[in-house]
Amino acid sequence: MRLDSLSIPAFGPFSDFSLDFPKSKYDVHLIYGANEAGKSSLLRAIHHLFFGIPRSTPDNFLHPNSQLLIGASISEGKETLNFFRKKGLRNTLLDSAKNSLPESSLTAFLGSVNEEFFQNMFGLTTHSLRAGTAKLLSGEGDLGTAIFSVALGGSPIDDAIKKLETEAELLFKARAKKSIIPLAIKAHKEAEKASREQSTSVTAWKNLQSDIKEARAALAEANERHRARHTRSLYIENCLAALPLLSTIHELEKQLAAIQAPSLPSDFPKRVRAHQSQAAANSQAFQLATSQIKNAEKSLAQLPDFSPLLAATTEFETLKRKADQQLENLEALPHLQASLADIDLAQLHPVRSADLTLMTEAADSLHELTQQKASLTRKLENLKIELKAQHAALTEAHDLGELEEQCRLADEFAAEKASLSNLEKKLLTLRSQRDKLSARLGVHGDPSTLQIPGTRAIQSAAREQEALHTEHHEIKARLRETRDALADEQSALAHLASQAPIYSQADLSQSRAERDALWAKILSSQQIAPTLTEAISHADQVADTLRDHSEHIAQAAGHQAKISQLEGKLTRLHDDLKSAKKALEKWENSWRPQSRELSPIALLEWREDWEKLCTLITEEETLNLEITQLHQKEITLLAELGGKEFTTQHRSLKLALNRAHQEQGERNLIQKQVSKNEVKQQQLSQEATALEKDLSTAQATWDQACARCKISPELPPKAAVEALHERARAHERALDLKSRQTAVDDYQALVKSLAQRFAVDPSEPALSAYYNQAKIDQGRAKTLETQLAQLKDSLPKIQLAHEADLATFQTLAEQAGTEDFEPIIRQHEKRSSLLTRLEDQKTALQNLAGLTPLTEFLENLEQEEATALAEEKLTLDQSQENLQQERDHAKAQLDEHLRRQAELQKNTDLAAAQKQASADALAAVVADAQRFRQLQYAIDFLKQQVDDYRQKTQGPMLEKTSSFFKALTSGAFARVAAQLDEKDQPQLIAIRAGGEPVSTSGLSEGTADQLYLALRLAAISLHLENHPPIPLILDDLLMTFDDKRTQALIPVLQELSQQTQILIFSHHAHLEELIGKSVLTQRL
Amino acid sequence: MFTFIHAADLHLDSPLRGLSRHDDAPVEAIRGATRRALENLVDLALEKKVAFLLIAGDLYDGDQKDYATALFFNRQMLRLKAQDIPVFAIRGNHDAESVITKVLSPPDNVTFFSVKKPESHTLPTLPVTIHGQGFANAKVQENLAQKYPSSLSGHFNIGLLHTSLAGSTAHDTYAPCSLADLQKKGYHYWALGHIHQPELLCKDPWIVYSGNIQGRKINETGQRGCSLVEVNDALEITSQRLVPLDVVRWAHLQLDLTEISDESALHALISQTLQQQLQEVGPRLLAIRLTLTGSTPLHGVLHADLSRWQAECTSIAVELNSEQIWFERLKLRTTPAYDPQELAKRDDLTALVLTALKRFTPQKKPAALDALEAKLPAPALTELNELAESDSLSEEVAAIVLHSIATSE
Repeated sequence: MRLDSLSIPAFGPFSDFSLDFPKSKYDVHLIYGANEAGKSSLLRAIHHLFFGIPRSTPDNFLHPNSQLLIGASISEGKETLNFFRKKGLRNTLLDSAKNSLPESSLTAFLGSVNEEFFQNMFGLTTHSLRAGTAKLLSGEGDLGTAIFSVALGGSPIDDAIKKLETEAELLFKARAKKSIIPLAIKAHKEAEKASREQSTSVTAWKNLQSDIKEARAALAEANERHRARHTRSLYIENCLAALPLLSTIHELEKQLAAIQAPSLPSDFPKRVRAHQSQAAANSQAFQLATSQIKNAEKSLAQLPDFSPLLAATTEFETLKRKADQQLENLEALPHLQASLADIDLAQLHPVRSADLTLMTEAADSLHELTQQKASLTRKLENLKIELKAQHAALTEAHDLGELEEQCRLADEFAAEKASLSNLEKKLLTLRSQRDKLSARLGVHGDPSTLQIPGTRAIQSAAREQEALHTEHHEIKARLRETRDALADEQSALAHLASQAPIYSQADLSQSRAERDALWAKILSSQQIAPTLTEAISHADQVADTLRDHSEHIAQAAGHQAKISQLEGKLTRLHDDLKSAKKALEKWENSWRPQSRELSPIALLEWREDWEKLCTLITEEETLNLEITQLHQKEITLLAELGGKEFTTQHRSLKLALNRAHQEQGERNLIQKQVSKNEVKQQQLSQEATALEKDLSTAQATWDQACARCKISPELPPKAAVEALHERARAHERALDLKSRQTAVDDYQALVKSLAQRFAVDPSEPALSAYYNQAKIDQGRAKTLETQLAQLKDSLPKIQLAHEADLATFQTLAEQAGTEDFEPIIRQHEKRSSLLTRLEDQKTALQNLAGLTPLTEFLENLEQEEATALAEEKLTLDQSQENLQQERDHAKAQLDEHLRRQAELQKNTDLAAAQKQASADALAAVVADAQRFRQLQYAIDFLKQQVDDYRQKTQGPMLEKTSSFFKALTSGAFARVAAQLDEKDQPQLIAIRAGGEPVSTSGLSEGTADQLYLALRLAAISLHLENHPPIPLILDDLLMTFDDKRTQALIPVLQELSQQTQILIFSHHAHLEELIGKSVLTQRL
Repeated sequence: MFTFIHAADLHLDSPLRGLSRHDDAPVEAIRGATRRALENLVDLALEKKVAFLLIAGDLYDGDQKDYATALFFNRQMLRLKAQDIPVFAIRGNHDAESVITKVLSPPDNVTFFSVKKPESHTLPTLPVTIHGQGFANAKVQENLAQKYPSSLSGHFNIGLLHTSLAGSTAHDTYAPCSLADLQKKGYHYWALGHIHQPELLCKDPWIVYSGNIQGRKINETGQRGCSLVEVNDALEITSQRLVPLDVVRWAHLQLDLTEISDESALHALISQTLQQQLQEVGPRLLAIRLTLTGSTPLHGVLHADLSRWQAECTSIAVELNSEQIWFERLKLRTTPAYDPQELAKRDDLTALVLTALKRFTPQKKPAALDALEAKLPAPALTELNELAESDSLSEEVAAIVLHSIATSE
């Protein structure tokens, strides 16, 4: 495919831009453009033309995204395609009529080339050339990887392999213990070991069971021994304690036998004492009863007759009950009589409660209605006064429309005028800034008329200047380095020369030739030439020196070669320096006319300020215009509103309008109140009429009530009601007086009657005292009669008890054989005491015998010897400690085994947990090992591919590269070749014209550039042999090439252009001169 | 009338496989997982008041080096004994008589069937007869079922058998037999063990693999538990269902990245997927593997830095719930967004590489692998070799090669 023409309607800085690439003998085209001319944009346009405009693009600064459009005409043999590319997500390919075109139309020309491959393979830049060269110079010139890498379009395959190897080595490396997999293996093994250690082994468990069994048996045995010793020891202790008890028993039995008294029941003394006590009590009771009967009969005889008193009991009780009332009546009578003294009771008209209620209600009703009438009359009068005032307050309304319109106009202008002071301040600031900036920039007059280069142009110039300076300095530094290296080499050579002459193989050949010539001369002339000896000696000396100092001479040869190389390099560097200086001067000359005597960096800053100045001036003009318009408007408005000053007039208008609005509001309010009050006045008049009617009805009711109660209607209602109440109260007091007088008379008659009957003083207290004493005496007589009857009833019982006492005495005397009980009782009690003691001793013995029957124990006891028993006890006590220790030990052993068993039986999963940890570590090992395996296969695979590819392409690749390399170095190098290194790996080497091999690391930077370019061009050429052509784009590639090298490149490109079209992008103006008419030039 | 439980393949105290630890890994949550599952089994038996419990082989994972395992089992059986629940068990290939050399006697409510000949045990209180025979050694190849006795009339007959049936690709073949062999015995229920995946094979009669009670590796995904069976007075099964007992649930999901083109979207998709899974598994630990598939522009990035993405997934899991998720592994089965065959057309070199990749087989082992294999523990080597058989090594290597070429500078 070739690009016949480009047509760019809108993209980046281009508008309706077009370029033609006509066919000629050599299809090489130079596209020249100074910096900022759009060279980079054009390169991007070519890429996007084929592969689409990306979503985010910097090329929309002039034309919006929707209008971006790139077009071209391409051809492949006889086939051509005219198309456009627009920006978008789909259907971005268009035909010449801007209709959508399928991508396949373009794919037919591009083949399988995608953007990445197009960029890598067919786009050669300074950067990619430099990177490839650096690789060659670093000595990593492995032929396989070099060929592989260039065939990939420059991506070094060895980097890819190295990256994979690094990852693999992180995982595992032989003899490296700290890589990931060995560490995981270690963790796995440690966890396995811990699992084994924390396991409850079967043997341990079974041994433990056996140990427990043995420990149980040992404890049982120790317990048995301990029990036997304890039993014997206890028996001896008991025997020793029983022997004294036995002698005590014998003694007690002897004392018992000595007592003569008959055997009596054990309760005999108790029965005697009970009898004696009972008999004494019975005798005392009989005497007391007889005496009490006599006393009671005497007291009864002395008491009076109570029958008259009992007959008058009711009268005495009445007297007592009414005594308090009598006193109260006597006290009230004088007060009642005094209060009625002035009243004629016969004339007092009775008052009924119904009349009283009627009079009260009629009076209340009359009073309330009178009050209501007075209140209503007051309200009506007040309302009339208020209405009169409100009517007076209502004045005529004013028209507000005109005033409001004037105010609106004034408000609008005031809002505009508010910004005026800000505008004026801003204007002053702008003027000040403009003056300062003009002074700083040294600009007088209109700065916008000045012709200043664009920012991008200045930036490009700055970059160019920097690049030129950098190059200049770098060459100078290399020059210094080369000079130093040359001096070192020369010094080393001089040192070697001072040690021995520095002969070369040529010197030896020459000496031998001279010697042989002389020898021939001798043979022919039979004369010995005088110089023969010297010649022979010299030849021998040279030969000897060469032999003896072969190493020395070899070193010197190395130094000489290096010196020669360095001298060459020095010359080249001088040339380079001159070129660099020239380029710098040329740049400065081209820069000066537009620079305003400033460097690009300084001019960039100056340009920023200049742009700022232009902006300031534009802003100032706009402001001035705004301010003038505002002033004009104020004058017009004042003419319309009247007044001399706008702010004062505006304020007056606002006040007037406010006032008018306020008055209008007040009038509306009063009008509403008037309507309301008129309605209210009407309501009150109606209420007054109704009230008047109610009042006349109430007055009639009142008059009727007064007539009925005989009260003068002339009295005010309240006084009339009060008089009626007073009349009712006097009537009640008269009745009370009468009732009390009757009660006093009746009581006095009763006192008199009783005093006469019982011959007592005629007073109520005397009568009451007499009655009370008689009642007490009556009660006492009744008590005495009851006591007397009870005493008489108890006498027979007491008699019978006495007879029983006598019978008991007889029985007891018969049992004792005497009536003197005391001696017999004393003997009986002594015997009982002895028997009790004897029984206690026997009980103690039985306790000592324990479960053994007492008789058997006593028999055994009779046979024991106290001393022997005591000695045996001592021996047993001494053995006790050993037995106890033995038992404790056995118990501790068993406890320990049981504790271990309990521990093992606990919910222990320690071993299982470690097994889990081991499995977890193993999982990590497997995962990492799997990745390691994949990486190793990938590494081996890639290495194998590199080798295969090398073997397959080495021949043609080296041949093609040699051809290009020779042409590029103008014959300084004959070819490139493969040579095995010490590891038998094929390495790329360059062969000089003289046949001298040079490793890639030994090449100069410029030559290495040429070698790498030769490799890349060879790879492209070989690719094109089997694939359809794609234009090759060289972007500023020749920047690092001097003129000589550039000229050498032209034939190579011309040759390659037979396979595909070549587009050279450059900003170097002199390139056109250098390559002359051999290529077609397009200018941007 | 009565309820019983059929469980199998307890593999008590065997570890869960394939979980690489990291700093935030919920180590405690997986500790003793098989024990917790057995506790759940016993809890269920007690809660449902079952008439008996059946264990169809592989109670233990192998010979007991640690008696704590047997002690733990006995303690659990004692809990059942306290409620008069008998247990009937057979030995499987993992705990065959010849494998388990030293035995701790179980409590007397546990009955192990003979390994020499089929036996029948009838329950004293129910018309239920259980027939079974255990494994004498780990490699029983004869058809044990054939010799099982005929069913006992009037009884509910159960066959207890550890078998691979006619063979399973995922499990070794043991005590092979056909479904017909089992059907013709006239039993009501066949309680099978050995296959870890629960499966109801037949309903007439009921032939059931209860599966293992706790999944132990990534290919044992989904619910794991036991078969709970209810039988009525007519001795007919009225209900049979799998009741989950597992405390760690394994899940392996495939995520299609066809629509995913940037890393943040992938991050979100993974987070969302883990969250959903977490809700599905309930209160247990989720051990999850994700395999990414589909054609995606992320293909290269993923292959180039698999370890970073593995760490990324682990980090997402930790952020979601560090106590409840263990991210097992990230696997890649993606394809590049471009067509490699198209690339092959562009130049000889790519064509050469792609053709070679197509021919690539992992036969010629890289020398560096020998050194690694010499260091690997035997189980790791075995697992690695097994993975090599199932793993698409060619695809992995192709992805690594293509990406390394594309990204080298």
